[in-house]
Amino acid sequence: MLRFLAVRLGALVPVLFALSAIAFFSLAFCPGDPAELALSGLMDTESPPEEAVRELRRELGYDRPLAVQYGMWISRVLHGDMGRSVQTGKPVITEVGRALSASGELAAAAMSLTIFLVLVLGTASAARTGSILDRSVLGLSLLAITLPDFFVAVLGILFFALWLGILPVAGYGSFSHMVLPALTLTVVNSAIAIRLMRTSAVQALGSNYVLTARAKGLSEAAVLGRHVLRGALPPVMNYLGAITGHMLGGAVVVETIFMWPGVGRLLVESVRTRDVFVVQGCVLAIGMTYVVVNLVVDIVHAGLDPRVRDTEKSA
Amino acid sequence: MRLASGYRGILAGVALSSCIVLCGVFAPLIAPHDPTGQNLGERLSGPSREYPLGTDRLGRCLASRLIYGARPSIGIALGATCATVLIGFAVGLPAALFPRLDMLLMRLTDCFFSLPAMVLALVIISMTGPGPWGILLALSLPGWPKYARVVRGTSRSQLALPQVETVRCMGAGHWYVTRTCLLPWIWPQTATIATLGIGGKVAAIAGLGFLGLGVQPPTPEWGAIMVGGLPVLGMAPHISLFSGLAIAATVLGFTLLGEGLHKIINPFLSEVADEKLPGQR
Repeated sequence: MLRFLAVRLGALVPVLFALSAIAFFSLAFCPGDPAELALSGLMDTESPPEEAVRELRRELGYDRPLAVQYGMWISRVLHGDMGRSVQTGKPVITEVGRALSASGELAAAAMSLTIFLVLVLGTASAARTGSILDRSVLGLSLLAITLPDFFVAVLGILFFALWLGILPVAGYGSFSHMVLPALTLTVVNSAIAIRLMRTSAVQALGSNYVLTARAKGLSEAAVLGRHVLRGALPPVMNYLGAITGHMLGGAVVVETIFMWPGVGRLLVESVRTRDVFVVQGCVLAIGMTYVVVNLVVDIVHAGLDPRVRDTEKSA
Repeated sequence: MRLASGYRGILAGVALSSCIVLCGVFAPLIAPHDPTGQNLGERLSGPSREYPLGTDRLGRCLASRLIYGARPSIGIALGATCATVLIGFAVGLPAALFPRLDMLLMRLTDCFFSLPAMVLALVIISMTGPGPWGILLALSLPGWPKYARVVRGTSRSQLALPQVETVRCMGAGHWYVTRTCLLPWIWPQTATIATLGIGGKVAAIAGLGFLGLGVQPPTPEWGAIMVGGLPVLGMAPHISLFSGLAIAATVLGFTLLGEGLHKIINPFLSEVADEKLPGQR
């Protein structure tokens, strides 16, 4: 296990470096001078004094070679200083932190619903292959795979908010505001996971340990709940981990439509208004969540399934 | 003639996707109106004989706008798919043929999985600004690592076969081995993923348009048309619904086509949908 951890953590180094490079270059290659942008945000003018711009550029190192710039930038980031938003004047780290917690709420709600659906529908349709339930699960999930997230969101708004009038169209604050965005994220992301769960459970149902469990005279519920689920879960869990990362950082469109103040919406808004420091903060935050979630999933997976640890060792 | 069930899907896919491509190609002949022509007296009206799918906020014919909207979507999606396939080959083949490059190229490929595709696309657009070339770049850069992995994986399993080893022992160069032993096996694989990828790219282009960061007006684009209908969703739901249907039909068409190809080429593999990552639809 220790060896597995070491290999897995070692593989993080180039990924983290690339992530920081992408974030750094998003600022270095953007049109306009970072120092001038920062000052015009701070002083609330279009054209800050030439003298001050030159001063700040020297202080932040933007007149030095690119490699030195990168070094100075990363040391500032590690000290928690990512500059200030040009739009609001607040520190980027505050803005991104607040957005991350909002995204976290939404992702937690959508993820609980997704896990519930995947476990129940996936196992149930595997237990009764060919039944009406199974066929409708397969058909509906194909439909959900095809529909883009923004279309699902629009359909949800139209039906639940405008026609039935039982849910608010968009916004943030109460539980009812969370229902539609969480439902949209669930519909869009759970379809493939449900199919994966079904395939995996069908395989488990055909295995010898399930035959043994049945031969012991266990009830069908106990066979499904205790033995099939445990055997079928690892590949699905990997995928669910990928979904978690995607819901936390990649819910760009859904958060924008429902005006959910999460990190995806913050990214879109800052790209629109060319608020480069916030773009950079969002990219770092989203990338870090992605990397951390994947790491946790891999470790849990290796904890559950000794085969994973062994292949990693021989590789 | 009766068809096996696997072929029904691909037929539907061929019909649907070729229909949409033809719509885009022959848009000036099919469209009943000028897509940018305004008729302010007929604003937000529902489907009628004059306007088969109704009109938008400026009284423009929705049907014509959707037909013309196929052009940027399909055009950029095809262009980005070609670019991703080419980059994938350019990275994956050397990685398989030259073991020394393998580690470096594959670590480079891994790095592109550290961000969701949509986020990487937005970062690129924040640098280039919205426009056809920006979008092309924004879709191609996050897309290629998948192809590089498939090309590398298939090539490596081919190179390990005794017949290929024999060919190499007889002094065949890298180019000859690639042409005769690798490409015939890589081709079908990548063609399948690429067809599936077109649908995903159409959805991504519409998503960018929806966010206001895609193809810019006055060019009619599906995502932009859809978001234009949002403020009037209660009064005139047809704008958002029909544009959403156009996007969904295109995605469905290319998905069916791709899965049909996959079933014919690799009949014993599991469904492609099971192997896709979230956000890379």
